Amino acid sequence: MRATDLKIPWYGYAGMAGLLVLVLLYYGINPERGGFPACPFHELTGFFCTGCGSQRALHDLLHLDVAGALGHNLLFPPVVVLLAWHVVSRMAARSGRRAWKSPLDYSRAPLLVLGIVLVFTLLRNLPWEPFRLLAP
Amino acid sequence: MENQPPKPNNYLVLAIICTVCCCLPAGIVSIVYAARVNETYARGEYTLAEQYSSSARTWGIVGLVIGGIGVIIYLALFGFGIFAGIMENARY
Repeated sequence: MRATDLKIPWYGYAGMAGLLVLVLLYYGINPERGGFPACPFHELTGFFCTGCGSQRALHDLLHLDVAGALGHNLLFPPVVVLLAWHVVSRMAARSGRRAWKSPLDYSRAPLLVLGIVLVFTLLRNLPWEPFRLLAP
Repeated sequence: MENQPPKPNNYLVLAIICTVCCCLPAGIVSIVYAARVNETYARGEYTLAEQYSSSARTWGIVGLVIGGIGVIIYLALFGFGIFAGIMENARY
């Protein structure tokens, strides 16, 4: 294996550094206690956006509370798994190993993501009972 | 098909991070451009695909930057509150 095989792009390092900071920050801080930035979109409009609840969901995940994370943002844990899968798949490809194709590499992936995001964002703003579960 | 150029990056990862973490419509615009990259590339319109690819990257970066600036403004405004929160947590 050549040394260049495992070369990590600059944004790989930036991403890892950012991730480390986030993990440390959100492990220690419980956003539920307040004092932490709320989503500006929610502050301005009163609506929940796609990402509302992901700070709390991240805190829950770091404390291994998957149910809590899903309750705060149903999409957040799947997105974490998806992105991790994608990164592993890319790194494997770079080093010449065979790996499962990343779900994001399918040609229909962007449309599917768009559909899920729009439907999820619409549903979590509906004030009626079964949909309230989707609100953060 | 000969002379088929490599598929341009559709920056879907950037778009997803933007949508879920930065809470910004820019992420959605970026996803739409990602979809167009795949569409046009499949149709063989490679120049158009390249253009959509750079639009997707631009919107993804715009979203991240706005999100980042938002966080910095928030930290500046509520830094004291966060610090107090950390102190409070530390007691447990």
